[in-house]
Amino acid sequence: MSEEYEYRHEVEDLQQKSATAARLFDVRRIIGGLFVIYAIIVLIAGFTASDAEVRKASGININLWTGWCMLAVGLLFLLWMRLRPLSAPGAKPKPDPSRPGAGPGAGEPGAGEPGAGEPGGREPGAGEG
Amino acid sequence: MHYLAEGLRLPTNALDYTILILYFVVVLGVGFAARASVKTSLDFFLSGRSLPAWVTGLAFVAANLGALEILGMAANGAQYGVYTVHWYWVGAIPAMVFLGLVMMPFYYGSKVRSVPEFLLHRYGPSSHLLSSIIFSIASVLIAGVNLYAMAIVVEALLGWPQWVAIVVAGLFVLAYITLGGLSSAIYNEVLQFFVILAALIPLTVVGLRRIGGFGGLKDSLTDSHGPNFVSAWGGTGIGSANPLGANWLTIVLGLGFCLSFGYWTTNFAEVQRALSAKNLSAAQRTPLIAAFPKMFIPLIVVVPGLIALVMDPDIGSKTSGLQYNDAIPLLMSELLPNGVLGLAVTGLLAAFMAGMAANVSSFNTVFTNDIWRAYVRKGRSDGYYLLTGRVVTAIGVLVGMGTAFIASSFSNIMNYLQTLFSFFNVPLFCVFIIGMFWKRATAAAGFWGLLCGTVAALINYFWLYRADVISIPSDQGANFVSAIVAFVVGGVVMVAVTPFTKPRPVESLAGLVYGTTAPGAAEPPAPGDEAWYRRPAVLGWSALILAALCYIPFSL
Repeated sequence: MSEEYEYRHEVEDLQQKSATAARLFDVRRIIGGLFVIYAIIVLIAGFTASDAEVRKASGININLWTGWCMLAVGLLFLLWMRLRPLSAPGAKPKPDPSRPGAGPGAGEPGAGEPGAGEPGGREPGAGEG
Repeated sequence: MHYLAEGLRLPTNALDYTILILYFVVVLGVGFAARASVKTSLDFFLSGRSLPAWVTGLAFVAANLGALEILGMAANGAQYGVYTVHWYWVGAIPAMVFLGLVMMPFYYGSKVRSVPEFLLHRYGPSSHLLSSIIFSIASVLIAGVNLYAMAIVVEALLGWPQWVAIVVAGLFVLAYITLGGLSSAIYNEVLQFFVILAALIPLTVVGLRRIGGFGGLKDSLTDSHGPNFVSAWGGTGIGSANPLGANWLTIVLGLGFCLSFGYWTTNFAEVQRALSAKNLSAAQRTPLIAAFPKMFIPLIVVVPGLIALVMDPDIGSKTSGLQYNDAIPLLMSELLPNGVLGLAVTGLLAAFMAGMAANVSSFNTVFTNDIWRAYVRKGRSDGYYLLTGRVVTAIGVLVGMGTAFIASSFSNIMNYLQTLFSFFNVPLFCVFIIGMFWKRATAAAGFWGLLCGTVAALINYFWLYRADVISIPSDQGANFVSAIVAFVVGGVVMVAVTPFTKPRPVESLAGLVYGTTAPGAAEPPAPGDEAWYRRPAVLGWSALILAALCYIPFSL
């Protein structure tokens, strides 16, 4: 093996030592949490909307509609996270639903799935306010 | 660059500001929480090559969905009409699929940490240093342009002084990237992607309702601008005039092949997202997953541009106080009540920060690994380079903020710079693609191909076109032609130089050229990756077919 490949070994070494897989929190928690909070704020605006506001938005109570949709999206993310938690540190990565917008349970061909992969070192409740 | 009209000041209230402030808090929280995951320089620059494909895929779209892109494509919609969809369906999807299916095995499999680093191993130091330096300068300046554009929009919409917007947004980006590195940039990009959707979808729905749906939109535009304005290919025959100033050949070759393949396959701000994926399959799927949302973004970006044109037919004309770039801000102020308005403002600011963060997080990687570590301070400990990365991030953002302040007095220069850098990617793509498929291509050929291709594009654009030596009807048309020139000249120079220079030894090219594999590079597929809907070929070809189908309603 020549010097040319030295950098590859270095990257492999660093990948072994890397802490990201084990210690990075789950982004679904942030998206879900923020969307639920936003949905509540926008829904409040929707329930208290004046006629003038509805007229401005071409006759739609857009706050109400947006609020319900965001609430649904936020809850779907939280549900998805619950159903398929991140794989445990050290373990080989588990399959994860990998298409955008693929909700929980969207296409699960029963790939071998060890149920008890509860990760230890995840950051709880990161950054929701 | 211009000043938005005073009339666009939004009637924001406490509710809207609550939404905005909440967003800034969360963005910073992500940075702090991601800090725990940064142990090595690989964690900082490439998230330890460990992220799942859906995360990197959405970050891949969001990195491109900066506010300059959103406002700019809405403006193009109002100015050129439905032709704007070419930037998506011809000008993005094929290149993204090509990146995923053809180029990603070389990038990810060779374990390089950046796009310039691939040049180093394939061609050697001269082209590596050239492209690293140009990329670094371009990233910082473009981050500055982004900040400046944001400051103008924020001043018009919210009434903040320009310097406040520049300092606030700059410091937030600095903080979360310095803390959490690429992981926090990517996580925030995924979040930004959804917030941008939550901002633009209600805007489009309300706007469409106001003007009578898609039918009303099409009818009023056909009445006012003629049938070609609402068709993708009408009037693009060679020699016929259209507002875009381009014909089908320059659209397909210039935009669809040269410019778009150059941008999507060699721009490290994009490719970096895929390099942070957890395995080769996930890296390949990153641009492919991104292709699906990308395909439908015209619905919430170009359509609002068209709606704005129907609501205010004078937009962009000399007599109107509004420019094409004001299309989306105009709809926001005309249509959205408080609450959703706060979401829209947040989405716009999120988009500005996404664009800037993508530039900054790719800049720190290239500067630290490809310039500092490769040529200035070799062989230090990993901790040293991690620290360097953080310092370089801070310096990059501060220089970007300085650029933003300078840009306010020299805005035309900034426009030229952006055009200039867009040409650099095209010969870079030419050098990559020849290098990946032709073993014989030499180091000297790589360097001279890169240099000559870039110079040729500049000569064509700034001299031949600007000085009217050749006649092209519009800046966009000239852009497309210059890109073709860059690609052809780069390729010809490479082929001409190669026979007279020494090839690299074949052993040193393993894993970098088609038909070779790096020793020990093959990794077993992760469990679950055999599922049919995760196969790159299936995803890639479906994206291409879907993009072609998208054209049907606008072509018949």
